[in-house]
Amino acid sequence: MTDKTLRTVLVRTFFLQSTWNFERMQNLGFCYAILPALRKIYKKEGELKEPLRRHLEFFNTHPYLASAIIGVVVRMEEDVESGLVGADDVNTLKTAVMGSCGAIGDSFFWGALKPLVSIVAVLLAALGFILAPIIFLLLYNLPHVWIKIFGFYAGYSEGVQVFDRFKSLNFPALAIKAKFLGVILSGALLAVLFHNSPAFFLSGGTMLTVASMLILFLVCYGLIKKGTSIQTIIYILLVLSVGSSTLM
Amino acid sequence: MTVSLVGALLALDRTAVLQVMVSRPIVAAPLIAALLGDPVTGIKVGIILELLWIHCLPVGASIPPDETIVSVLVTAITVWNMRFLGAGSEAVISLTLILVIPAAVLAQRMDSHIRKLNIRSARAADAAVEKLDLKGLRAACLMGVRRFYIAYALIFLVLLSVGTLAVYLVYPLLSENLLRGLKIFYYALPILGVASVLSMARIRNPLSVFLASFAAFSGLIEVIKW
Repeated sequence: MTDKTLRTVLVRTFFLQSTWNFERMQNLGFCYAILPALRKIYKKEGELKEPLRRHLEFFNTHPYLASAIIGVVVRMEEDVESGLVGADDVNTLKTAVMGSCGAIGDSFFWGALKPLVSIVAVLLAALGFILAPIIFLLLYNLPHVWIKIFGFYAGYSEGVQVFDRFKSLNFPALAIKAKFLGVILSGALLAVLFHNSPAFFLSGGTMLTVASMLILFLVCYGLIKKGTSIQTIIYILLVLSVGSSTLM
Repeated sequence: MTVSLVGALLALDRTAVLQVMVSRPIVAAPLIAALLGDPVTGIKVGIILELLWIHCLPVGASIPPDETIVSVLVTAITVWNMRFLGAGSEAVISLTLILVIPAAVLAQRMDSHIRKLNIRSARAADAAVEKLDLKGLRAACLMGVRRFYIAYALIFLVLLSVGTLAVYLVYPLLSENLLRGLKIFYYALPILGVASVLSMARIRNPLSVFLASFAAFSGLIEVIKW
């Protein structure tokens, strides 16, 4: 497999969800990503049909960790072509790892890293740092792009060992730390937001003093915990805000 | 027109392409605002919407209300109306947000509809493989990107025009009291956002950790001010 083909496949992993569908989910993105590699592996007329059919089967995982699975599958397809493994083993592997990669990616990238980086960026923006969006993109995408590149090349060169490497990174422990840090920074963010509020908002005698803002926060928190949707609370806040303005 | 085309590009990042998070409010809103020459308003919009949508991500088959569409619409409509009306940003942002929130649900439904349409592309890909038509296969694999882009660009084109006109007509009719209420609402929204962030924290005693941090940082700010 040439470096150029591997690079092309890697770039195409960024299109994994381009035609996500309710029937076979990421199957089209997977097939699109792996197509250049399959064309290099299966050169004889008609040989390409069977592997393409294989990769149009159901597939769904976390889009960032998918690149590792794709790397492993490229290596396996080479082995299938040279008769070292059976064609069925490819789909068995995909089915076996997509669930766990999906769970790890969802809990770390979506559930921990993204909220943490968002809070950092909002905190910086609230402090008047205009480059906060760039910091957000850098902090988020360094691990994101790294895991995609590392996962893909390690998957291709080491095969299924790449999943042990993921295990050694201990994503669940990292996620807990990120969530804890996120809560601490949320406290800092609320302090900055209170501090940034204009004088009329904080002046004594109005409905929304610092104490009432804290009460407002706790009421919002309680409502969300009870299952009230954010959209509903937004309209409740609107009514409260307009009501309080009449008392000023 | 430019905002619609750029907005649709940013919206592709939600699920279809890249997912580098340029579709998130904290990036999309300042980008659109910078395009219109007012990045500061974009930051203000970005802070509020990022907090409100912090835990909403299209994971697997779940499709949350669309934060990118709200970010682009609120930002562009606010920047334009601040110029037309000569108004401050807080009340205009609040009014626009109230009017635009239903668009998040509209885009959510559109997203779901496109994912259903994409099943046709999966079938087209099957047919292309049987004929070994690789050009057809590639086209089927990328059809979703085209569908999403066209749908978003059209939604932006229509809602930007309607929304801008609606805010332009409604804003001058609002009383002083209502405008003050909208301004208070603007400052209350991030409080809801932080509450939403905390409510999703899956750690032990999140409220105690949060309140301790809040007290410590409030004290620190007072010391720095002093």
